[in-house]
Amino acid sequence: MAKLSIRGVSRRYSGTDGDVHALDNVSLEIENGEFVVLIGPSGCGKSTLLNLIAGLDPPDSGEIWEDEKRIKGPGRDRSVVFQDGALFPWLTVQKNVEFGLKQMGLSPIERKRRASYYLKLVHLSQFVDSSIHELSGGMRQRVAIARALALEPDALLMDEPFAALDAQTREDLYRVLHEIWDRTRTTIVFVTHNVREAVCLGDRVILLSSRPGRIHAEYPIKLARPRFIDDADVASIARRISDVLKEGLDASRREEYDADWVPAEAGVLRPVDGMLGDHI
Amino acid sequence: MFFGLLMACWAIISKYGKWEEALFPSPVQVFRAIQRGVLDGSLTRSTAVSMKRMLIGYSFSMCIGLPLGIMLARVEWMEDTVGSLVLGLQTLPSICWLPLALLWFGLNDMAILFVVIMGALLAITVAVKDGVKNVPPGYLRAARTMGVSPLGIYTQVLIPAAMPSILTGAKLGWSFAWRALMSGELLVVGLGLGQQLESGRDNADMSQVIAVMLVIVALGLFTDLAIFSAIENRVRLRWGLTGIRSA
Repeated sequence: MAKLSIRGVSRRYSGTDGDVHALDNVSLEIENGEFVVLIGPSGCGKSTLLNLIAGLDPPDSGEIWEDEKRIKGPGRDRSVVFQDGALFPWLTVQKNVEFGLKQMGLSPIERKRRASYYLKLVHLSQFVDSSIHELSGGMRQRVAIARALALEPDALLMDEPFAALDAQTREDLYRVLHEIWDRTRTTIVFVTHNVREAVCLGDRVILLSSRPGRIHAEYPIKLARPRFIDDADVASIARRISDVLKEGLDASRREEYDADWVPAEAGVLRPVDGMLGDHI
Repeated sequence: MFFGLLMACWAIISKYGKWEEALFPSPVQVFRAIQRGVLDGSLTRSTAVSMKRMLIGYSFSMCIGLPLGIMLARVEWMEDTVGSLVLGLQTLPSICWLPLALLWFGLNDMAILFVVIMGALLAITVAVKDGVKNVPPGYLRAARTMGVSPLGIYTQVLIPAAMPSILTGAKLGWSFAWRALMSGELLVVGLGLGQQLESGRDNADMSQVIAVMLVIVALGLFTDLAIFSAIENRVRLRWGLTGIRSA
């Protein structure tokens, strides 16, 4: 029995220029303790799928099950790390992490203990009393991860959590995330548009095609951990996935541009003031 | 220093200026008038009466304005109906309600309270509504994934998230209420600082008039600095909204 089971899910939403068919009959099984990465071009519905699993939006058709129970709304058993963190600026770091625990009705002492434990896990013990605005982007995402983990969820859903960070910070956070996953073995569903990030983190990479969003391909990643973003193996698998992604990507990019736009061909950048081969 | 200079100018103008001293009293005379008012209790008593009206009217406005503003922001049909009414009424200076209030409630405290409430309530409601509407939806989504209760959405997310705007509304409401109260008291018989102004005019006692004006300014400054600014600074510090000053 899979931990999360997505059965024939479709979802449309109406934008300003008509209906968008975000997901079309998507089925997917995610095992307990698995680290699954959803990847695809922008607008392929990967975030939509994550929101459906989180229960923040209902599917138009199809069902999503967690263990023996059907998902009908958001719940603490599936906590979410949002792209912008969605931390509460009116609370301290500590109180942000305690927020969900307070909703669970835990005693203040127990809340404090658990929040401290998870803040230590993301190496933020020194900043418990800081305000959110005092933290850097990477620190904020670490708080967001601690806040989600503190609920001790069955599944951790991450929606492009590192997309807004610089490369160095991102690599640090890969390590933090590896460490956490190694310790907790929580099921993780991770959405990204960065192929290398996907290969570096996931046990399995699911490639979604765009409009309508369907599962295009699946890649089990059997590399040993810890992996690094610059590993040759990571790079070569990422390259393979990129090539497949690119075909779909060009299609979706064309949708976002005018009709006369052509995606760049691989090739040589010509100098503007002369011919190739001048001055030989 | 600045205020010292101002006092000096005031003293000089009152001594050598165009008006005689009865119409433009010197700082010393005004100070004596304040002293007199405090000693015979007329000034303190009317301050107490005005503050009492203010507190009742203002608390009432906050108690209604806060939930009303939140409802207007959250319930669409409420905004379409009550929301437009509130916006429309807000353009009306609250003292314009006085004639109606006098007919409805008679020449008493209720009429003045009504004017005070009409001054504060609408400003507070509109500010709260705008504040709640501008809460990023991401906060609500995040709170829902953490299992917040339906009531908790309001008490633990929407209200704290809108707090900077709510404070602005509270402050604006206070100053509107204060203005409404003074105009009301000027026009309606009954104790209060506004009435002291009026009686100062009747008795051609300009030092009393200016003394009362100073008390009104002092009370305004006090509530602003001691209450609103103090709370506001705490919120700003937490949110990191410390602002930019030119060097």
